[in-house]
Amino acid sequence: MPMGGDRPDDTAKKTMEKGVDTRAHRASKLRAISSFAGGIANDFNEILAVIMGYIELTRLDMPVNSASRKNLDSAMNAVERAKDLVVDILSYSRQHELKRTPIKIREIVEKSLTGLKSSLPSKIRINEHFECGDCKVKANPSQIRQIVINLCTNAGQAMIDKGGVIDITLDRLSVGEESRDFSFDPLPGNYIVLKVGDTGHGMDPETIGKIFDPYFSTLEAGPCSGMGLAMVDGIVELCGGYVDVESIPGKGTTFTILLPEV
Amino acid sequence: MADRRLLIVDDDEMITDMFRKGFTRAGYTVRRAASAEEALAILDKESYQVIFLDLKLPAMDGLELCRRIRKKNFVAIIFAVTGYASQYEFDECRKAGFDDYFTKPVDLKVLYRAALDAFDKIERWNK
Repeated sequence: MPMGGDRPDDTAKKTMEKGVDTRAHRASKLRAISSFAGGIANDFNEILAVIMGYIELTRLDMPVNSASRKNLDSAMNAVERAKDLVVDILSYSRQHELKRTPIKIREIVEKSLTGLKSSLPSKIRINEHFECGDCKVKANPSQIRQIVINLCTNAGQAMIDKGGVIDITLDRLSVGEESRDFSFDPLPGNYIVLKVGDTGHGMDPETIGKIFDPYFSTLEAGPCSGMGLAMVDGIVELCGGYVDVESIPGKGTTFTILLPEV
Repeated sequence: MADRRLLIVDDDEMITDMFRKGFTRAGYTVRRAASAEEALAILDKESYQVIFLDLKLPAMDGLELCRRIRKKNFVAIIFAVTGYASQYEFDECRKAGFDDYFTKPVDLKVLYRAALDAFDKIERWNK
């Protein structure tokens, strides 16, 4: 499933016209959604503040261990989830405002994994294969962190019951005019390839078609905003890259991200 | 404990009403203002050393209000409270003269702690 953004090279202009139109349309749609969502999220924060305040005030009037107090604790938990969702939406809607500079991607990926490892269950192992040392991409460090954390969190969710392995690779790739390495057609140029694969439950083609949509989630319950992959897609788009996903039900899923090397 | 009077500035009556109830319950006397202009008029007549300001206000915003208050009062402890954190940067708030910055929705207990610490500081400075 191809997604992408700016061009690292203009030489393939004619052959890529249709693809660029699709990407431009998608980028425009994402910008509109993010602007709308950002506006709602800010107003929503004000409303949540009132709800949260009154829950807290009412809770203090209830006897400790009473059923009413426990009910209000549940309501407060729901507000906390709504608050986290608003943070995600605002983070998504602000991606285009972040300053992007050439950064060493390996350093950022390694730092992101340090925090992530402690949050994953012990039955999930992370294998790292980093081939690029000082190679750089033009991005904001927080965007790269967001990509790594969101993809790894999803991979972890896909293996939460049985455990498994998350394979993360970072490599360089030179794409020529006649590249057939991907299901999409990246423009010729030098790229950094970030792959995150898991051995989880995988997805069917219908699910794959929706995973980058904002608010889409395969989780029926739990604290999931459905914004994680939409954010990954939006960030890759802003960085002029491509994201692809391959998945086999019952076997696992691999996300491949190409970011132009600078 | 000396009379602990707070000024809360927010154009959303639901917010100021909730804060007033919360802070009153915690032992504070609360005065509300629905705009920067109303807040300045109150401060011309009365003294408040701990102030909570919403940033997104009609006409003059919270940043400008804070700058104006700071011109006359270097000691007051002024807090920004906003649901529009994406539109106001922390360093911008510090530059305007705010002492701290809270993002709505904020736990009332966090604001109680901030108010308590602020009054303790003011009392210590006045000794």
